[in-house]
Parts: sequence; C-alpha cells; structure tokens
Amino acid sequence: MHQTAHYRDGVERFVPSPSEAVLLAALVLFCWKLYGGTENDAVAGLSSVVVVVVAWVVGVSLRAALNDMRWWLLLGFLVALIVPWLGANTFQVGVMSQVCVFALLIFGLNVVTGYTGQISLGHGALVGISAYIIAILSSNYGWNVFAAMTVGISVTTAFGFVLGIPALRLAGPYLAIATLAAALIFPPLLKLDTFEDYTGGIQGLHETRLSPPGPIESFLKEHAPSDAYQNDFQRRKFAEESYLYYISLAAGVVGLVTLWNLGRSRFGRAFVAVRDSEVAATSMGINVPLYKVTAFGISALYAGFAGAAFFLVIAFVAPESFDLVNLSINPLAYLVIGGLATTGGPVVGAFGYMWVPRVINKIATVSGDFDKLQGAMTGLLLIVVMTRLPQGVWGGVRRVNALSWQRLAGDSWAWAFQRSPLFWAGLALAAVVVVLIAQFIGTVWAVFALALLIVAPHDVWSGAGDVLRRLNPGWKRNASIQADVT
Amino acid sequence: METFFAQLANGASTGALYGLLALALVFIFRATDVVNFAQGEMAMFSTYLGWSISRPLSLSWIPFLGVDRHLNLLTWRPEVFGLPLYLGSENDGLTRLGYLVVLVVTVAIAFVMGALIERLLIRPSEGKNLLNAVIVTLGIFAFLNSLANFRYGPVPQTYPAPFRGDAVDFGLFKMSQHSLFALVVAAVLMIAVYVFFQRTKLGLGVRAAALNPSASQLMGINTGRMLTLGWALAAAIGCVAGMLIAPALSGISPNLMFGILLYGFAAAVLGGLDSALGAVVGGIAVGVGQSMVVQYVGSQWSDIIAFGLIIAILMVRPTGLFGAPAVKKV
Amino acid sequence: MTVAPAPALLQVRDVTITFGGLVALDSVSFDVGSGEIVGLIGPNGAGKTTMFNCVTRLYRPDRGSITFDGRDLLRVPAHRVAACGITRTFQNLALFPSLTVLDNVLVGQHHLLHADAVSSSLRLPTVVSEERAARAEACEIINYLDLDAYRNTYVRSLPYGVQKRVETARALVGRPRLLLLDEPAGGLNHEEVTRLGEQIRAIRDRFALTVLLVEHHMSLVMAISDHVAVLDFGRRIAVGTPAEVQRNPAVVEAYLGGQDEDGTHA
Ligand SMILES: Nc1ncnc2c1ncn2[C@@H]1O[C@H](COP(=O)(O)OP(=O)(O)OP(=O)(O)O)[C@@H](O)[C@H]1O
Ligand SMILES: [Mg+2]
Repeated sequence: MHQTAHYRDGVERFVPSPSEAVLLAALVLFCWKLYGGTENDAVAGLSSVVVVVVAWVVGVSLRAALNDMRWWLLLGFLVALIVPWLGANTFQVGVMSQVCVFALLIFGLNVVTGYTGQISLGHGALVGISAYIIAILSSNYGWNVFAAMTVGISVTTAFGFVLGIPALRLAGPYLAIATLAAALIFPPLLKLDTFEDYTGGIQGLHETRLSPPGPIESFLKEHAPSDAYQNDFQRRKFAEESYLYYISLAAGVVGLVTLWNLGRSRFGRAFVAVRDSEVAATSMGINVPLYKVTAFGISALYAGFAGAAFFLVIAFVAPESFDLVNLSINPLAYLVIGGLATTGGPVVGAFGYMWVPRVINKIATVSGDFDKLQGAMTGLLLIVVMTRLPQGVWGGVRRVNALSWQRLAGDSWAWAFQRSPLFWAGLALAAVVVVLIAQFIGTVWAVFALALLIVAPHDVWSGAGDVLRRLNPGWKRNASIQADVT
Repeated sequence: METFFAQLANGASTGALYGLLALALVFIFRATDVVNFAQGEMAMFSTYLGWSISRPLSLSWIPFLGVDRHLNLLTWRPEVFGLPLYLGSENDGLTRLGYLVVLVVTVAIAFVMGALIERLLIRPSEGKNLLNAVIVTLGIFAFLNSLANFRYGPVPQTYPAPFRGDAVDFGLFKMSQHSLFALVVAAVLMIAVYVFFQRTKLGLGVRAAALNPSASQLMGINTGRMLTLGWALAAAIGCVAGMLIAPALSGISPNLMFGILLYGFAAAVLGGLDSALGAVVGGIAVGVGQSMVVQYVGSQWSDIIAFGLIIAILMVRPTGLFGAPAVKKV
Repeated sequence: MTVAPAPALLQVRDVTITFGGLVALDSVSFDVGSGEIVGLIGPNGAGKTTMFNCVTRLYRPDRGSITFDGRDLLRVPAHRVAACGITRTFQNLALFPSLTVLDNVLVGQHHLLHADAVSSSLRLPTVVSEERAARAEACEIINYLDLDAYRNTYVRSLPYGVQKRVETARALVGRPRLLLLDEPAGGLNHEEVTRLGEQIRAIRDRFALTVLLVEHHMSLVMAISDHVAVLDFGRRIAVGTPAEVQRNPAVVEAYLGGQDEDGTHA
C-alpha cells in the first residue's frame, strides 16, 4: 500500500541511495570494530571493504528481486531470532518478550485507530479482560492454560464488538472519551469486594510461569552464551526467558503477518475508505457500521492475544497493571509515533513503548541533572516526533528511503538558501539563548530549549528575526542584499 | 435528609471545580478541535507558579533596599489616609487584595503560557491528523508533570483560600465559604465564556477559525491569532480552576490534577464538548452524582457509576446533553 | 413482431424530499431507458445532486418511489446500491485521499469481492487469486482512462482533473449498469469538455452502460444525451429530447432567470 522507491536503470542501479549509503557506512564501522581488535588496521580495513562490497552486490540483486519492505522485514526477523544471544541478561530478553506482547496490542489499535480512524482509549481494558479471564480460569479453576486462553481471547473479542457499538453513534473526541470511560471502569470493577474471591482484589493473581519442555530447555541451556550465564541457575533462567520470548515472538510474527495481509486486502482498503469518507465508502458498497464494529472486533482479537501473551510472560495480573496511562494511552501514543495505518509503524511503536522509558532512565542515572526529569524527556520526545515527523517514524523512514541524491541535494539547497535572512537571524538568536542557558542555568534546561528550537514552527524564528530587525533598522538593508544574491 | 442536602452541597461545589476545568477543555475544543490532555497539568503548573509568587519573595537583588527585605504579596495591606484598601483579611494575615493580586498575576502568566504552548508546540501539528495534536498534548502532560515533580517535589504544598470563615448555614445544609466562592466563580466564568463566544466579535472569530479556517481567512480573520487566543484563554481559565481546587483538597501536588481532569472530561462530554453551559452543568452533575454514590452506594462504586453513566448518556445523546448535533453533508 | 416497450431501467416517480422547510425535490418523475445517456440539468440548487443522493440511497425521500430494473430501490440499503448495479461520482470529489489511485479504484470493486476476514488475513490462495483478478481489472480500467502514470500515487497529491477521472474509474470498476456522473466536466477547459463528451459515449458503448449525467455545460449535455430532464427549484419543469428541451419556454425562462446565456459556468 505504499509507494515503492524508484528503481533506476543501468549502472545507476548500483549507486547506493542516501539511505543505503548510511546503512553501508554503519556496516563499515561495524566491520571495523569487529576486525579491528584482532588484526592490524590494513587487514581490518580491507576486510571491511570486502564485506561491504559483497553485501552491496547481494543487496542490489535482492533489491531488484524483492519489494524493499519485505527485505527489511526478513532482516528484522532474522535479528529477532537471535535476540536471546544479543541481550546482555535475562532482563533484556524479558523486555523483548514484552515488546512482542505490546506489539500485538498496538497491531490491534492500528486496525481500529490507524486504518479505520476510530480513536480508542479503551484497549487497556480489553487486554485486562483477556489476561484476567485466563488467570482466573487457570489459577482458581485449574484449567489448562491453553484452554483458558481460547476462552479468554474469544470473550475479549466479543467485548470488542460491544466496545465497537458506541463507534456507530459517536464521532471523534466523543468516542475517545467513551472508550476512555470504559478503560476507567475496568480497574475499580476488579477491586470490588463482590468479585474479590475471583480477582484477588488489589493483590491480583499470581501464576507460576510456563517452563520450557525438557528437550527445549536442555538445548537452550546448552547453547546459552557462556560468558553471561555461568552457573546452572542462570542458564535455567536463560532457557526459561528465551522460551517465553520465542512464544511471544511467534505470536508477534503471526500478528504482524496477518496485519500486513489484512492491510492489503479488501478489508484494509474498506477500513481506510471508512476513515477517509463514509459517504463515498457507502456508495462503493461498504456497510460502514458493520466495518466499524468489525474493526473493533478484529482489534479486540489482537488485544485478546496480547492479554494472553501478557499473562504468559508476566504471569501476574493486578488492577494496577491495566491502568489508563500505561495500557490505553501510551500504546496509542506510540502507535502514532511509530506511524498510523502502516505495517512497520506498530513494530517501531512497540519498541519505543518498551525501550524509550528504559533508555531515558539509563541516561537519567548517568547524568544526575536528568534524574527526576525522565517524564519530561519522554514528553519532549513525543512532541518532537509528532511535530517534525507527522507521519510517524515509519513515515519518516519511508521518506528517507525514497530519497535520491538529487532530491537530497535540491531539498537541502532549498532549506539552506531559500529562507529569509530573518529566519537565520532568529535562529541564531535562539541558538545564542540556548548556549547561554546551558552556561548559566543548566544542561537540562538547555536541552529543553533546544527541543523547543527544533519543534517550533519556522515562522516563529522569522518573527524573532523581525524583532531583531526592529531593534536595528540598518540591518534590513544588508538582509535584502543577501536576499538578492540567493 | 440532612446528609442528603449536605452531600448535595458538597458535590455541587466539587462539581463546580470540575466544571471550571471542563470549561477550559470546551474552550480549546471550540478553538482548535483538540481534546487537551495537558489541561490539568497546565492548571497544576500555573497553580504552582501562583504558589511560588505568594511566598515571601526575597528582594535582596534590588540594590539599596537592604539585604533582608521580603515582599509578601498575600499579606499586602495598602492604606490610603488610614482607609484599608485590602478588602478584609484572614487571621493569618492573608488579605483579599493580596490574594487578588496573586490571582491576576498568575492568570496572566498562565495566559502567556497557553499562548506559547499553542504557538510553539501545537501549531506545527495543526491541520494534520487530529491525533497528532492530541499526542502533543500528551507530551506536554508528561513534560509539565515531571517538571513540577522535579521543581516542587511530590509533597503537597498548602495553598491558601481567600475566604476561610465559618461555613454559611442555609438551613437545610451548610456550605464552606470557599465552596460558595468556587460556585460563584464558576458561574461568572461560564457566563463570561458564553458571552464571549455568542456575543463578541472576537469570540465569533475564534469559532469561525475553528469551524472553517480557510473561509475565515478569506473573511480577513487572522485564524492563527484566534487559535492562540483560544489556548491562552483556556489556560487562564484552567489556572483559576487549579487555584480554587488546591485549597479545596489537600493542597497542590504534581499528581493532583490528572484524576480531576478525567472528571473534567466526563463533565465536558456530558454537557457537550462545544457548550459552555454544558460544561458547568455537566461538572456539577458529575460532582453531585459522585458524592451521592459515595454516600449511598459506596466509594468503590463512584468511578464505575460515574463513567458508566457517561457512556450511557453518550449512547442516548451522542454529542452530550447540550452539544449541537453533528451535521453530515454530502 | 412487436412486444410491449420494455419498462425503463430507472423509474423515478413523484420523489419529494424536504430539508427543514426547504423543498429540495418536489414530486419529481422521470425515466432512464436502458442504454441511454440521460442529462439531468437545472440551475444551481435545483436539486440535481439531491436526486443522485436519493437514487444512491444516501437520502431517503419523504414520498415517491424509485425503481431500478423492476426493483424497489427504497427498500435497498445504501451500501447495497452498488451491488444492484448503480455507481456514481461525486460533484465535490469524495475520493479516499490516503489511498493510492490503484487502491481507490480497488475499493470500487469491494462489493464484487467475497474474501472474508480470516482468509484475508491468512492470505489464502483463493484470496490471492481473487485479488489478482481484481487488480488486473482495475489496471485495465486505469489504463483505459489514461491513469497508468499515477497508479501508485496518493490521490491527495493529484490535480483536480485527474482526481475526477479517478472517481470515474472507481465507479466503472464496480461493473455498474447505471452510472451516475455528477458534473464530470467541472474544472475542464473547452477542448477537454469536447473530449469528455466523446469519452462518455465511448464508455457507454464499451461497458454497455446507461448513464445519468448532471452537467452545467449545455453544449456537452445537448450533444451526447438521448433525453434530458430539467429541474428548477426542485420541480421537474421539462423532459424530452435535447432539441425539445431547448425549445421549451419554461426551460429558457429558468435559465435566463438568473444565469448567463448558455448556462455554462464552472
Ligand atoms: N443535507 C442537506 N441539508 C439541507 N439542505 C440540503 C441538503 N442537501 C441539499 N440541500 C439543499 O437542497 C437544495 C438542492 O441542492 P443540490 O445540491 O441538490 O443542488 P444542485 O442542483 O446539485 O446544485 P449545483 O448545481 O449547485 O450542484 C439546495 O438548496 C441545498 O442547499
Ligand atoms: Mg450539485
């Protein structure tokens, strides 16, 4: 459903595009580091060049054969397969499992909010319903986990159709608030005394985690990276985490492939049609209400799977796990950041959802100044991405991917030389302010000011330049001379 | 019966505060079609600013004044020829004039803050996907919340109320002076907002700019300025709400407002996102409903019933009780 | 051997619809015979688009009946109208801006495809072949309307005239028997209008269609229509062959009442 990058003919086919050049440069660096430790520089450099040339020839032949998107997905999948060996410890493997879990949720949100344009803030409740049903059936009634999952996912899907009913009557913000209300009702319901026997009240329900079957466990234990996992206990933990990771990865991949298929089928087109123009969609034979509810149903199916995976990976449910911000608002925010109505966007979003807070946390502990400002950093990131990449990160990747050298040169020329001198003056003024802030107030505040510099619309800087001009009337003449030159 | 009326009064005064916040939401919704998740945090942050300037301010940076002079706005007692100009005071020295000055200064700061937020942060995502602007407000929410935690810490700070005398006895029920004050302010602001949108040219401009930007531009309305104004005024209203909410609760703290904002959403949607009257009536309805449920059903049920009712009402009236019905044109 | 004349493909009888106090259509009746090109004309606000909306069931008339191929259309829900064999274009463009031209046209085939959600998301072989056939058909029509250069472009970035053609393609790909065109010549220059006239006839012949055409370009309507119905303030004031209608004093009056001479205005 997206524009493929232009394919050039003849020799030009072998010239890397800007984005590919960046990737190749990264590859060179990577090889350099890989060889650099053991060999001398000449050998390291030569091997890097050989690797890159081989990679490039393979890449060009593949580029001709495959749609570029599939090529990236395949690469991503191969990397995903070796994640347990890339992670430094079981915690990181666990986080990657959760990436898969929340990817499922975000896929579902993508169907209803991305494709169909119905804002839902109630998906946290759907995940919760699924996870709770499975937990109750398996821990209170001793059901087999997979039987419990079947029931949990089916019931959640049914609830999804119910949640879709308001979508028939409500538009835009009203629907958002109605679904928000649904998400807000869920945790207090779990805490009610009446249900406490089943739901465990505020304490929630614990469950022992699924452990891998014998042969798989011994295989994983045997092949655990020996430097990170030394004793038997650590290796068993590794096997356990990895096993759960592969289960969630399988679910995530199935989710991704089905989402992709759905997006390019008559359903995907119908969902977007409903979003873009209900009237035209109706005239093309699309039963708009039916498709809206169906979108909610499908999306709830994904949320149900997310709930099941959540239960497997975390093995603990409590009302607080399904709070509004964590499970309803943030996934939606990261979906928009990743890119609405795309296949890659939700994947990027799921990564962001799990890793951004952790990375920021890491930075925060490194520099004391940032310690209490993690939330502010996350907020800034949301704002910067949304204002500078309105199509989300995936949209940005696509745009960069489709960029040719000519376009890049033309665009940067236009950016640099076709702006008013006022803009540059304003920008310079703002930059000076940022430096002053860094010098006299603190790094954090300078970071904030810098973010503002990136985010604010460019005419603001022209406006600031205008102020400067008023302060110094003689300056204008110079400016117009400059403008003539360009 | 006594408790019933007490709860009624109680609920109405909390509800008036929800209504004020809802009023700010309505303002932004009418001006930019955006549901502002940062409204509560904007109110919280400006309340903190008010708190800062109502503390004794050190004036040591002004030369020739002496090192240890302090300015305490709250206890300002100007007199002209022995006549007190400070409109009465409380036992701890707070004067009404002092409070008013702090209020006005804070509201002015909030106004500028709102304008800046619109101009610098919201504007770039305008005219694109509506969700983008909503996500930006979420970003502002996280930003302000964390900044307040960083600057002021999580411990609640007491915030003064201007009227703290004995509760007023209405026979059937009593109402604290602050609650009464909050009700009056909510009513006045509601009427002001109504008049602004329905009776002034500026308000008409704001509405037109939101409804049809290109056409309004052709009519010579500076749409950009209208949207900025909308956000600025909303921030100012939210600021008043925050300054009234803080003393009614345990004081001001960074995480105070999100919960209240959710009730503000409920109130705004209940009344209809585009109706000023609806916002305040919705707020009072939510407040009263909440205190009734707490009294007669159990506090566990209060959120369940409040938000359940919101869904139910929306299903019957898709644009709230007072909202204009949506028109579809082919 | 003579048979009784076949009933018209589309029969509109006494259709009335009001919005508030405004009578947008007032007992309008006319027929569209199978294989014909019928022009529906009238000054601005006469109710032409409203008539289209009634036929495609976006509006429900207060009174009257609309019969298509012997079937009571008023009993058909709006989303089934396309499957009955009626598709349309819109006066003010109602494309799906975030889809490419090809996907827009494929949406027009929605009612002809039958894959369900489960097999679609697994992309079973049946889905693949169905999609491939749909794509081939869509591409054929895209080529036929000279749109192949834009096939993978998002429609929101296309010029107005091209977008109009995409709408026509989207309507044609649904294999209609009756095609409703609402001001297809909007925004075209004189030469292009002439070419459009030929194209409409060619489309009619090639796809064996019936066409109901709303247009303000009198020369176009008069040149290609078999019959013309004239609306004014919601009432049908004339019906007949182009020549008859042009001579009708009521029509001349309606058009001279407020319009420039030949009634052409974009
Ligand atoms: N949904 C509606 N609600 C209210 N009034 C409507 C509605 N739809 C159409 N009308 C009114 O009905 C009348 C006929 O409109 P219509 O669009 O059918 O005219 P038209 O003949 O297509 O004119 P034009 O040549 O300008 O396209 C107009 O006065 C219009 O304002
Ligand atoms: Mg029309």
